[in-house]
Amino acid sequence: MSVYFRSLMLVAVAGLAAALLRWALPQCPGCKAPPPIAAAAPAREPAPGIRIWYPASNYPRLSLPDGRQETVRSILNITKPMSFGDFVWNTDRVPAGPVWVRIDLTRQLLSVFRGGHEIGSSVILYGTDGKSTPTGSFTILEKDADHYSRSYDAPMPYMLRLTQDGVAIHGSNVRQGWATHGCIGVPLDFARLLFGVADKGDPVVILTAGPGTRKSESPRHRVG
Amino acid sequence: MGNIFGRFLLRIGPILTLFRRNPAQHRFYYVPSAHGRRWKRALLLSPILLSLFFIAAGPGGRAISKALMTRITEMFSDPLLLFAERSPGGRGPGALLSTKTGLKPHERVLSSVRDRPDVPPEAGSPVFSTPQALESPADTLPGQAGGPPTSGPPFSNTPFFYPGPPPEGAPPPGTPPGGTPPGGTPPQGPPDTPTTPPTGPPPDTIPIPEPATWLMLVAGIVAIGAAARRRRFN
Repeated sequence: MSVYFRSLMLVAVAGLAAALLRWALPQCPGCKAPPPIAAAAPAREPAPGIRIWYPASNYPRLSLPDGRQETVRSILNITKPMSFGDFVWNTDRVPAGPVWVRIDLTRQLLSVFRGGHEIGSSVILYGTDGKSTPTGSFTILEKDADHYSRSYDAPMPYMLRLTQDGVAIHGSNVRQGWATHGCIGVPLDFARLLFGVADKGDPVVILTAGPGTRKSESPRHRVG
Repeated sequence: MGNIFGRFLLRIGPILTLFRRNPAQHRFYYVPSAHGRRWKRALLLSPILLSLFFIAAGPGGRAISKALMTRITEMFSDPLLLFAERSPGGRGPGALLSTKTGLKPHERVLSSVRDRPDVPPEAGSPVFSTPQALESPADTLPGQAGGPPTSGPPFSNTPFFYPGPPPEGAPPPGTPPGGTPPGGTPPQGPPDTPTTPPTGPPPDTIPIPEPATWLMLVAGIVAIGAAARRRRFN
């Protein structure tokens, strides 16, 4: 038996003695258990699991390509990788506020923020290598719920136009292995929800980590 | 029962012999037995361990552990990390090429009806242009379109996320524009453009324990070291 084991044994014996003493002594009448603080606090935040709330003292910020930064107050709690055609939409307890859309081409994701809270996220389709989606900061120039593209002779429902030459966010059949000619394709139901939230003039940011991103590389290692 | 008690006495006995009084010398003397030495060291060490435990369980230790936990949770709740978690993954360069359907690989997209330039012509084009009037219809050809497509400064050289306030300067205007060049080579930014290091807000102040606590900690460590040294030299 080493010294340290012996000393630990002595500490344990002392702790046991203290516990016994505490148990044996009668409870003092003056000291009562303090009222539970958690019950008194208002339940402002929804059930955990729906979204991740950041502490008000330290909101993370997402930097935009034009140098501005957007504060993120909460984001949706999606821990599993979404597959093509999936989306998540949740506006519970999210107050009204300015809406902006973040499109991440590298991660093939679109996120809608309202007042700093992420209310929707979806897997997207984007342009091919030959007709790539432009990156940068855009604003929604036009909204059209029943748009029909003359160039492609195809319906593009719930279209949110971003550029004058036809790049838009619209509902489409989001499947793995498919791509667009520069537009951002989102699932049709998600496009309907996004169409209801976004207004003309809301900023849309399209980000990429640059071409040549291989699939074997994890996106998290390309940050920064 | 008696056997157990006897064994207990055999274990405990050396402690008592440590402080046995020698009537001849009228002072306490040390019994040099290895068993007793260990027990004596254990007796010396136990208050140190107790004090360490109370330091760790006290308000200072709890505050330190809480600050560490919040730091760890913040590290794991970085939005970009969570975006990467939910991402279906990046699209590889050959993801759209199907080599199984025929001899010639083809892209499974709509037929190429129009030809839109995918690179903005100027680097210094305005980032957030005011919404132009919608005089051009939906899918105009580039020759008929009014102006160049709006584009931002390159994003490949700047990090997505700063945990602190915004960097001082936007990317310099001379850097090449984002997007895919026609050749398909990635835009290698000039390596000498320094990205300003993230200057975050001051971290949460970890409450520093009292000087007496520090002294006790240092004394405990010194005692442990002295015991180990004595043991080795003996």
